[in-house]
Amino acid sequence: MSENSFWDKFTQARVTRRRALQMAAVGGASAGAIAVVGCSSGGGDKNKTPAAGKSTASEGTPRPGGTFHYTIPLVTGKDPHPASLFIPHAFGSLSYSRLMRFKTTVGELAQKDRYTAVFELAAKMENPDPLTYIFTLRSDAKFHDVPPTNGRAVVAQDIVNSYQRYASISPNKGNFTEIVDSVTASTDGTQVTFKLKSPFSLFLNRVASYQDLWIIPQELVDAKQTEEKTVGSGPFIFESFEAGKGGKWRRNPSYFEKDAAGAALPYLEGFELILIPDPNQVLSQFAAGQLDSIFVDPKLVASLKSQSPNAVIDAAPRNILNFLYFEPATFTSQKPPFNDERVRQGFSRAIDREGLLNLASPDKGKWPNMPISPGFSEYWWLDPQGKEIGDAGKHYQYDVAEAKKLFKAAGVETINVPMHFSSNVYTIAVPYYETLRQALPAMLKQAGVTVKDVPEEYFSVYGPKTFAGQFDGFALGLESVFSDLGAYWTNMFYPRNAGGGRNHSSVNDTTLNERIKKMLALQDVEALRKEGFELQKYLSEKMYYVPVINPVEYTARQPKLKGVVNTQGPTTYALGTEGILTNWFEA
Amino acid sequence: MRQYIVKRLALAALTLVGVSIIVFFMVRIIPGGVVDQILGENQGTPEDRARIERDLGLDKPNYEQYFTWIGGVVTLDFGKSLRGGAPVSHRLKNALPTTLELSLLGLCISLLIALPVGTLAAVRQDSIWDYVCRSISIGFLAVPSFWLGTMIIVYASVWFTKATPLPTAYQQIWENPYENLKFLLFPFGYFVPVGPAVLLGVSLSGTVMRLTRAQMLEVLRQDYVRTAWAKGLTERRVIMGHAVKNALIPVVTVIGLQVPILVGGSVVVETIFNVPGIGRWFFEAISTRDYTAVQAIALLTAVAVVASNLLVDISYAYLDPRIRYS
Repeated sequence: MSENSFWDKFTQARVTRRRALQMAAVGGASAGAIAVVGCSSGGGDKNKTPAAGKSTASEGTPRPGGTFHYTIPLVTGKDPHPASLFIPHAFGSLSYSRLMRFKTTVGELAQKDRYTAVFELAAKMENPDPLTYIFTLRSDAKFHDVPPTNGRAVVAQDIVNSYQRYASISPNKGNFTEIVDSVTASTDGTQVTFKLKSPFSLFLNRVASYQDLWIIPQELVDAKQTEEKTVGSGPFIFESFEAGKGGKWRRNPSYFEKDAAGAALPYLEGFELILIPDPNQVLSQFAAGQLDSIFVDPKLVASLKSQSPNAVIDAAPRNILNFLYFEPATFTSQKPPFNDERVRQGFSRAIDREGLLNLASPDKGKWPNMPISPGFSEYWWLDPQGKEIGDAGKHYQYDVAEAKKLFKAAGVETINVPMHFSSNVYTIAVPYYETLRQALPAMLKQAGVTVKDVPEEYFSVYGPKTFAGQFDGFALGLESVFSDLGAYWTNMFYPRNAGGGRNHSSVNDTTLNERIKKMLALQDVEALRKEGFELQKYLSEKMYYVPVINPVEYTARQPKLKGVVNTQGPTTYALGTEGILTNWFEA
Repeated sequence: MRQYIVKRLALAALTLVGVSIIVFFMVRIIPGGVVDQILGENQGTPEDRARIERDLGLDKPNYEQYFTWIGGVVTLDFGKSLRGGAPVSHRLKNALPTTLELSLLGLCISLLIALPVGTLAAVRQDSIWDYVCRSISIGFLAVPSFWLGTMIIVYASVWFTKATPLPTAYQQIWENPYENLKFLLFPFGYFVPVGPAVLLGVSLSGTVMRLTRAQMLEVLRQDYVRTAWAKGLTERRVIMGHAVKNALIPVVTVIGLQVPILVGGSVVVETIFNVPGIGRWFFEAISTRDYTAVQAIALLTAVAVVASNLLVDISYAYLDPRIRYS
């Protein structure tokens, strides 16, 4: 117990008459009465109503200090390498670094700059040929000055060790092992070289990914402490974690990144993660000023605005792709009815996307293409309602009569099919998922499609079976938050045993796959974009997956919180560097 | 009596062994195991799956896993969490006392409300007091605790711009009894008793209140009570000295049966009020398929239920001299 514990203060305090009476009241509680003990709860900053005003472009000079309070419902692990869920990656991002990370800017980030890789541990990169990437490490990058690393420098061998560990235990390892041939360290420890199997123009995005290659010191791995604590080279030093309550981090005084004026980052003195499973509690804590930033269910935005009128609310579509996908037998054995692309197109025509956006979010949103949504980046997304898509855009226009015509032309005027969907997990991760799965059957019914609901528990059925391609009929799905185009294209269209880990429908279009491979080898950004648009037009005709909607989602933050980056997206798991690195509190 | 206690303890041990077997195997037949969860949407290769099973000790036959686990339980080693690898006993040593304290406080509060109110309703049968008390008991029975808890949190944040303390603010009673009791009883201060222990107590008091009233009415009609009135004893002496003690015997039974309800109710209350107890942990553990945590919590809950029922049975002998165990 500390020197200033309750017991020390208790024994040292004089008992005044008032205090004695209070204590007597406690001891002699009468039947039916509850003894009164307390005085008012603590005051201070936590009870202050948030100040007025929205964030402006010029926020003043950043003030060091303050602790950022954040919440998630639970922590499933602290080691990001073996993790597929986002939580360990977000947890690890506070203390671990990557070779590259993604660009951020205070305020809104330009669409073209979304998911642009910038240096983190690497200070320089040379690309002598399309297969070779040589990263020179920063000379000032050090691990945290705590055991077991004790402040030593980050060296090239650390990158190699981390890669080897990642490649052996990560469920996401295909993102690297399918494209990387070897990783080697220079003898002087300053450079690490990646050799690729074939040209891949988005390799730097892959390196910067926030769900893959985190650099974890070998000492921590050897001591088997990767689930106990996070010791890395990131902006915050892990202090403590208590299951059921949360964790604390403090600022890393030796962190290598500086702001434009040369001042040390991060500005924040600490970070506190609080585990709150109940969403009403989250809103209540935010209203009381005890949390600094939260995600807000679109249905609760109005309620939040009434409880916290001075909160700053950022609204933007999230990088989450939702879509219908069809049973694999459609493409593996040409099983009707979905083997006919007219049926798939009919499904798309039967969906009233504007109506769904009205239901899903007060600020509506946009229509995704496949596999790119505007939440990922409008620069890479071919707008189904825009001019560039041309004739292929008609496949997204709501037209029940046209849907019926398409079904009739395909020889199936009425369709009876099961719709598989996740009855949990997705309903929490994506607030409008439940809205979609309730509204879609009614929409499809108008076009002659009778849907039988098949709710499936995520971990036991939906994830291992339906999402893995073992189902009949069709399903309503979500896709992971990938941070590079290539991940969407390869994962969702390549064969499962060749990088297509998310090819839910077992799409088998060899022409498409060849075009994807060629596209991803293009070194010119404009050429890559142009070919990406052509492929999106192609997929709009084929409708291997039927994209649904990309609604606006919301985060709320306290008005005293400044230096907030990428206010309109894109989504990131890297809370430490692409979230709060430049945050500071106004006085 | 001693013989009776020994027999009951032996039966209790057998019961607990049975519970441990049921719990152990039941969590493993839930579809979507821990390996599926860890691999997530990627599912991984068969080698990934085998490696994870090996690391977690799940590659061994189930009976071997059971005996390894139960052998540890005997020495109070409940194994390691399958999500993170931390020893289960580490979290138990804080979470278990938290829930025990919450449950005990909830039970005390329910009795503090239910016994006087039930007695008053019976003594003043068919008066305005009776109607008020019965309405209160129906109200407490009808209103779900999860709704009431949510209303407390929402309205406190709207009316008082206050929130319940964060779970990081919770301190054990031996660390700081003042903050501990404030967290559980008066989280918003201002002498407003709307804490998780109060909510739990209120939700339990309805049943006890109604049972107390019914038992009191029956006892008050007994000949010995009529004799006591006839002898000219004061109302206080008749009620407190004669009637209440006899009316309490069935009530004690119900109190014993409240223990599993307390533990179950604590899941909801702990989640709503951010109390870091085993109720909330149990729900998390089931969701994340943390078998060792589920097994430990279920087994300890069974111990609590068996122990409380034994205590209730033993207390009969003291409450009612006519009852003798052999």
